[in-house]
Amino acid sequence: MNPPPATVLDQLELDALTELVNLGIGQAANSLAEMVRDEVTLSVPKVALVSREEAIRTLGEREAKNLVAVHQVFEGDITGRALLIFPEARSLELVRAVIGGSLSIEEIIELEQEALAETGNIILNGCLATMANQL
Amino acid sequence: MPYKILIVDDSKLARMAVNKALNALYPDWVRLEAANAEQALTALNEGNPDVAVVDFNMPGGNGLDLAAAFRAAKPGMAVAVVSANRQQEILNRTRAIGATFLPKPLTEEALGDFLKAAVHKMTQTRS
Repeated sequence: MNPPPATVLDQLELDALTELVNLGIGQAANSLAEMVRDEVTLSVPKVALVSREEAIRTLGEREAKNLVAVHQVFEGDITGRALLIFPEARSLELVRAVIGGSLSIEEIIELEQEALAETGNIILNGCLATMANQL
Repeated sequence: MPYKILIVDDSKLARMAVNKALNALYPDWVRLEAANAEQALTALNEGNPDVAVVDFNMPGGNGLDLAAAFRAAKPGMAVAVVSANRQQEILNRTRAIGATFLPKPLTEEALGDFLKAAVHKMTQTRS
């Protein structure tokens, strides 16, 4: 059993990380709001450093059974991967909100995968680039 | 007068977004679309566009290299690099090749400003 990784960072470092994430998520929400032409409400961010097992457990306990994830790898001074995860049941709704009312349901379904990837790309990129600009 | 614009993005949704903004801004412009760098270079040679809007993050070659190739082939051409990756480094590199950076999600206003400047430049060169 691994020791709890939360002890790696002290309070100030955790605070700085939270603020960095806050800026990134803020930009991501901004991008999403522009895409769906509606306000996006954010909760107060909470940063937790967890093991892979705990991350899987948390997602499994809190979220719906079927999830959709957009995955983006980043490299540079910091290397890692970012995942944007949301319930599968909501994905078509998101696509519809982004595309707007001009397309038929058949066209929306056809575009779903690609629209999710591009929406995820914009959200994750906006978040990661904003964070990178602070470093 | 209507100009010809080349839209390069691997995402159909993103190309739709550019088209939608164009419908409001310059509905009579001729549009060429490309989903990758190879198609884009063919469209550049065969279609001879006046303006190009290029996505940064594409599989098989980034948009900055493509935009630089466009600028080398047609030095006066107005080229915009479009990306949600608005890192200072990428903004600097875009500027260095003489292209304009437009953030994603692309707004009608941002595209409008870029195209207006492009049209202004083309009108001056022709007169």
